[in-house]
Amino acid sequence: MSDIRVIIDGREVTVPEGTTILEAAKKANVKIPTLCYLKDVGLKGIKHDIGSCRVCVVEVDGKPDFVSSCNTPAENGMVIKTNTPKVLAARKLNLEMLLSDHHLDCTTCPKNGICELQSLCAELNVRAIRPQGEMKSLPIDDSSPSIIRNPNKCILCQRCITACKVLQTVDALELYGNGFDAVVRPKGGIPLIETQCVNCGQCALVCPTGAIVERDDTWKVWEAIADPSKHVVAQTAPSTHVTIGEAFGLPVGTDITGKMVAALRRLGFDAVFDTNWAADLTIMEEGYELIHRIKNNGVLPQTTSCSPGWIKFAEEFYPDLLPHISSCKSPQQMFGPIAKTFYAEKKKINPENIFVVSVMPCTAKKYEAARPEMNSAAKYWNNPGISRDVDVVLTSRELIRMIREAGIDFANLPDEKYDPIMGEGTGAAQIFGATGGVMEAALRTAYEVVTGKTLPKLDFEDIRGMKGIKEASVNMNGITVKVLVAHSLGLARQLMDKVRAGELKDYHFIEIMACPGGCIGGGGQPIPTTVEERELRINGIYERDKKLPIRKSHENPEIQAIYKEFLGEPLGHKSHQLLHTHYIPRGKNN
Amino acid sequence: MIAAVGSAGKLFWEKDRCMVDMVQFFLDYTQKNSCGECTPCRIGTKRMQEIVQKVFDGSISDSEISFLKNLATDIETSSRCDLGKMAGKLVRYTLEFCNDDIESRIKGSCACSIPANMGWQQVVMLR
Repeated sequence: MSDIRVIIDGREVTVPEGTTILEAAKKANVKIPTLCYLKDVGLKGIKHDIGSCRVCVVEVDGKPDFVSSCNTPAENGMVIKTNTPKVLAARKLNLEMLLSDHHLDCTTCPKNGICELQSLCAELNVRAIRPQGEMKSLPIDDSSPSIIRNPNKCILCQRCITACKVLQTVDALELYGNGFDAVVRPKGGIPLIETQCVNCGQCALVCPTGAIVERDDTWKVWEAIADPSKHVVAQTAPSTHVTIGEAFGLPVGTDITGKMVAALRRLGFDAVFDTNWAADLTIMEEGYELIHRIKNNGVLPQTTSCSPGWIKFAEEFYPDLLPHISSCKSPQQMFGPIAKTFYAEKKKINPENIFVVSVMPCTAKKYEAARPEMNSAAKYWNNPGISRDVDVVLTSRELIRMIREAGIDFANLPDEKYDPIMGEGTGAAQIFGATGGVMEAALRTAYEVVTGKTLPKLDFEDIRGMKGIKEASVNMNGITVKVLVAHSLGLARQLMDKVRAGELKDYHFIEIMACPGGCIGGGGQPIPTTVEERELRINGIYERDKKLPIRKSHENPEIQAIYKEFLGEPLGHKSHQLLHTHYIPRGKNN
Repeated sequence: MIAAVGSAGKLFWEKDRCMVDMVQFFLDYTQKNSCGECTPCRIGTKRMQEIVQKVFDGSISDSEISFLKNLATDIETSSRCDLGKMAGKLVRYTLEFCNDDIESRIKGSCACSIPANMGWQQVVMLR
């Protein structure tokens, strides 16, 4: 690759051949506005540059028409003008065209204040919508428990299609129709719930407008809090410990655990617990399950099961490989039934009155909580009056909205501690929030359980971070345990195809997270969630792990206590009743 | 009369049609064949259609005519592919060279000026 010289707004800049005009302009400190363009969709290297919005158009000397800077390579000697009155007028008019077919109820839009279309209009000084005419008026698709689609807000940037098709290889969305009638819709025009959508919410993370958003369940929580008969408990997912602060002006990746606990108490929760505690419980069950499979020639490699997007993906596309998936419920779903059994007994509260709210990074968790089989507490007590294991799932974004609504000055809250019984979490649980974390946590425990020795080094650097498929091996009493880690369903598909082809027979354990970067990049996390944010949040996760006094799940005193007082042993009878589950083959052939 | 417009097609028109008919037909063709991805073609040509309809209704104002020119120029220069560009070009040429046709259409008649229209030859010649 040789270097080329281009002139942008009168300034010369040297860039490698193949650089787009947009990137070259960045190098010249010229900011060209973009709307549909996304440098990375979830992972580095997955680009979205179809040039459909025509907002980033620029003038190039010698060319009669404008070119879109996001997908036009700069050529040697090019003279580019990015902000002549002519360009500005075109940009504005193209934006006005979009607005002329956009339902402009900004004040009541879920994306009000974090809408890219809105902020672009402010930036480009749009003061009128000159083109006027017919507007699309399509039904809102609220069939999914996770994601609400309002096609009337769609600007057809197709970022969601790239996220769904290229990043996740789920391919549940399509562009359909011609001209003004073109829409982005679930494949075949059926309601989203009837498609192979896995509810991961990566589409909602990249949607620039209010066309794809998470389902808002905040009012259900306000209602429960207001009901004096209900004992409302919260559980907070590992990744939320380092992401909620972003919305309140704190640096990305800041550990806000103590403030989040304080905020939840101020919102009126009767008890505030940690999903990290349930993550430690998951490690006990899943670690023992792995050891059991290795010892008894069980189905290997075993894959993790905490990512509900991944679970639905497997059910849809790999129903033949379901025996590989750990039977452990996710930490969220382990917490629910324990709150309505062990905790209820301990605190002498009628389990019918316990209302479990989880704070999750994840839109798929809403779907998971709604799965019919996630009703173990009612089964355990044989009492249909007990509500579902997890009553409401709030995404990070919804909790942020509740904190704002209540007028809580989050950044200045004092640090408070979780309530006892289900509030203690270790560093091993904390790293569940990042890709590779479940694996690392499992290895920390499995090694010590199997060998009876202390692990010399707790940090498994090889399986951390945003690189693609990651691999490690650990020697345990003469057995070399080989593990793999994938984040994003596109990478998961690569691994599962190999499992199907019998190429991974000598591997023991595979961690799969549906979202790039793991839960810190979940579909319910604060917007924006770019590769950069993901990296900073991952750093925050490992920093918190480092500073926690206990960093291995099996050393968590509250976990030791529940086995002693209630569960007996990992994989025991009660565990199977409350903490393990089964999967349902879905997909076209099931 | 033969005219080459857009996707390497040939259009055969009767003598008693005018450029405004042609524009209306071609915008309809554009909308039906637009992939719907880029803003100027998807929404812009629809907005032009709506304004051209006002020419037929006789309800168009001078400011709308001048905005139509704005739109046409923008669609011609910033559409992603030649389908949208061509629609913009056609409308711009019509406004530039076939004002008589527009005037008479607004008044409710047809100037039937396709056969001898200079502007129309321009459309064929360019590009």
